[in-house]
Amino acid sequence: MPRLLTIRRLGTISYADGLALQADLVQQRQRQLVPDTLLLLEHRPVFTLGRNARAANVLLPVEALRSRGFDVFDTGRGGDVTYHGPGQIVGYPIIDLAPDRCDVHRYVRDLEEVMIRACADFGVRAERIAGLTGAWVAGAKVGAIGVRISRWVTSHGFALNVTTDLAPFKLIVPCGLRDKPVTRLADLTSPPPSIEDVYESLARQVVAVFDYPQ
Amino acid sequence: MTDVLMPQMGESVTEGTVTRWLKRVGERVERDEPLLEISTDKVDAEIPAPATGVLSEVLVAEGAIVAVATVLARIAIPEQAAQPPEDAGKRDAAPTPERPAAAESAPVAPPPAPAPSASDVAPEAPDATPAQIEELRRTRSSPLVRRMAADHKVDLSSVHGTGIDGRVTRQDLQDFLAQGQPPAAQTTPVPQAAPSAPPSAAAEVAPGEGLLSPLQRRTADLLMASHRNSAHATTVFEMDLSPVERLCAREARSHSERGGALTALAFILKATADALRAHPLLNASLDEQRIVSHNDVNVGMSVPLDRGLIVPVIRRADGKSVAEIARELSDLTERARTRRLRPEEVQHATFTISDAGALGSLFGVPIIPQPQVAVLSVGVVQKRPVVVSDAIAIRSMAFFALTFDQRLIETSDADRFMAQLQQGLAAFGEAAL
Repeated sequence: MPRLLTIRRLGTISYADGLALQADLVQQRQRQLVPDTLLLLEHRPVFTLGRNARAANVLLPVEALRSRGFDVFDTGRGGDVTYHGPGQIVGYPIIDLAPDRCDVHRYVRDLEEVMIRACADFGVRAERIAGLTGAWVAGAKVGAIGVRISRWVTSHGFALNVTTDLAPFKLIVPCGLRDKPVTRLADLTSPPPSIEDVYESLARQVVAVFDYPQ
Repeated sequence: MTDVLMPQMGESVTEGTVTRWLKRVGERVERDEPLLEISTDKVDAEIPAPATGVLSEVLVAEGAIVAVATVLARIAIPEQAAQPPEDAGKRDAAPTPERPAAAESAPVAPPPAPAPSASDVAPEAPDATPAQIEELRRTRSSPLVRRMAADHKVDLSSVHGTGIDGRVTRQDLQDFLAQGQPPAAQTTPVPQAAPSAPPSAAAEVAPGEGLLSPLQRRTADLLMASHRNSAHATTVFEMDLSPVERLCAREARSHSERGGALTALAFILKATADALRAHPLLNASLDEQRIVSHNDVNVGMSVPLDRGLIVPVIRRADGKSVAEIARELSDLTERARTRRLRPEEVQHATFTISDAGALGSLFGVPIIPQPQVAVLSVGVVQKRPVVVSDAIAIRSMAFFALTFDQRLIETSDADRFMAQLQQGLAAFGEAAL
């Protein structure tokens, strides 16, 4: 199968639907039934608890979050707790890293590169912070990463804040990082980019960074 | 025997954390079936089984960080799987909660019977009809009959069965035993003494199963994380609550008129807060390796609900009088029971008291709520004969158990804290009110 990337725009979907779709695609990818796939979407407001989530990083009890209209989800991905919601573009690459990209660090660095380049497309200089993952602008996190790999097929991925309402982040310690604020692209450049343009930029950069045929 | 190794997940990846075992020791695994999960640097990965067989050894616990190429587990290949994973006792344990989980991931087809230890016994040929009948007698007979047979070391295949399809009934077995037949075990090599639990048997004993709710799972994760990460140690003191009880009784009438009767718990909370103020280490948090000390003494008080419990927090308890604490406690407890607490009223506890005595327990040894470093379990207050100045007196006594994180708190620190609490409780007089 030639190295191809199918890009699917899903609009706004629930976190549960996103999980189900990914699980399905991962299985099919493992059996070589589908090519590499990039899902691009936004989620309805949801807090997700990674495998390593610590109680101290959720500042309200789960019931209290639910009563405020947030979904709360235990996920299979790595990382701590985070928030997804409208205005944040989520990318789930379902990619077979075998045989020549079997390196989890390289994969995470590549996802960071995608977000850093997308920010650059809008004149925002994002960077890496040693020891942490994600894309950062002046010490604030604009893009987060959480990845799962099963037989070298990836799932979960990255989340870039474009026009995200940042208030819900105050209810948690995102990714367990206490002193690290969260930011969004709309606050970093004027005029704020249209979310549509950011979708296109991210798709383009995934193709470029992962060497898919244009 | 095949080793399961920590894989190299990337050029610069030298180690990883074992986050979860998806199989248990003794469980069958198929080649390429997910066996465990590891995480490295924000990435979770599933590690598939390198071979088909029985997971015979798990060498690395969940939560451990290990270097690449470490042996994580061993898989016994079927021919070598000498140890039958199911012994007679295991069948009786079937109704326990762990069992459904194991059963659920078992392949649908009946697992091949564990290889008998006697090597001269030919493996059962599934198409041999006589063998099938014997198998039926052995396995389709009722659990009661099978157990009786096991107790008497009788091989059911050598008993004439009069039941459906030649099954051995209880009467058949009793007749057989009454005839004084020598135990079959001595005449034929019998791997059947340890029958592999057939699917039908599993179905008979399954008392119904369910899954933990997401909240329960999350709680479970937190409890296990605390269990893993903290070095739990416990010290138990016996407290004389007679002065407290006397004050409570004396003040009961006047306070209940104003709402918020004085309870022993309010005194205990007050004395605890004072002791915490004097021993700030027990009021600290330990976040990974970071010690965070707190200016405020915020004491959480666990309140049992019909299902589960909730822990409302008395803030700055050391600065409050017993009467104030009593009022607040009764208000919080009441609203906890009716689920009207505001979120901020259950947050930021720096220490927790668990009222084990409410349900009659002498004392509990709770798991430390992270990132706190200690939890006090207050046992039931009982009148007991004690020796005071070489005379026997009747006193209101209770056991207090302090469970603390020994990574941060020395046993002697814990004991000094408890000794001060003990003195504080004994010293209560009018001034405290």
